[in-house]
Amino acid sequence: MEDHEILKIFQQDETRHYGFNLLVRKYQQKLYWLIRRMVIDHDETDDLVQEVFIKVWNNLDKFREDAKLYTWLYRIATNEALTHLQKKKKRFFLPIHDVNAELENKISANLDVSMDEDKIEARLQKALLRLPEKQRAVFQLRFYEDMPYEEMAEVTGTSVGALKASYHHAAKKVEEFLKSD
Amino acid sequence: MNQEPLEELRNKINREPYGLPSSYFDKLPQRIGERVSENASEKVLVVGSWMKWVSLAASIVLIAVLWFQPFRSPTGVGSQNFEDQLYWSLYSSDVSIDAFFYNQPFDHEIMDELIMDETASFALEEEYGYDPNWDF
Repeated sequence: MEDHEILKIFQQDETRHYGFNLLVRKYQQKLYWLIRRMVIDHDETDDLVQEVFIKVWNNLDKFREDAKLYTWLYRIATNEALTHLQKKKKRFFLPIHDVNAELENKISANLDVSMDEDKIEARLQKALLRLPEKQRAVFQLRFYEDMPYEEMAEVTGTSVGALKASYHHAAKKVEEFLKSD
Repeated sequence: MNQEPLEELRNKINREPYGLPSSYFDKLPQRIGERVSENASEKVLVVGSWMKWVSLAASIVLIAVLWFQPFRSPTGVGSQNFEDQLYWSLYSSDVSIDAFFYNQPFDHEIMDELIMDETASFALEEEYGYDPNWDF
């Protein structure tokens, strides 16, 4: 079902919950994997996905239909994940490398490195941990979601030029890490 | 920039690499629906609690205003006690003025004449006692 059809169902009081349910079913997996790659842990991702959809429920009335629904959803999800990671660092007074070490352990624990695909994914994820969080988010949107820069600009609120430069630097760092690993 | 290795990797990676609890995505919409309902009822509770405190504060302010406003005050303007207090304050000030003049080193007879009216009224009150309806 198209986004505008879901929005129409959501906007009517008697079908509001049904419309929201359709929206959740359509986007839950995309948002889950976007967040999961950022925070790695399933339980944390589960909480964040629910928080994202509660925010969507509370704010969907204010959504302007001149923007794309999915970029708006990705924007909320990306912000939630980044805020979560920043809070985590502040909460435990941990330096960045300690949080990254924790995430690295989780990557190893969550992936079956005996499988080639997962081995590659694990190497890639560990490389991504070397990036600043916002750059990591940019890399993920481009690399995993294959999102056009114009849409990434809507998600991140950054100019297309800045995003291209950010992805370029991120890709270079990731490649260097993969070569040295 | 040569991004070949990365582009190659893109085709090899697993798009959903991590394990998930069984039927996770089947159950997630229902759990989110429950959270949304809880969230709505929490909002009602918060609003209810907020309204309760506001009404309590408004009641306290209203009671305080009614209690202390002048026409209700036992010593407020217009009350009988207010008249009594005013009378006694004037009376005691008269006595003080008289006492002051009697202590001065000049002829008390002249003073008596000067303050004759005051003394007369004082004597009258001494004789008949305090009249709360005294018109001043």
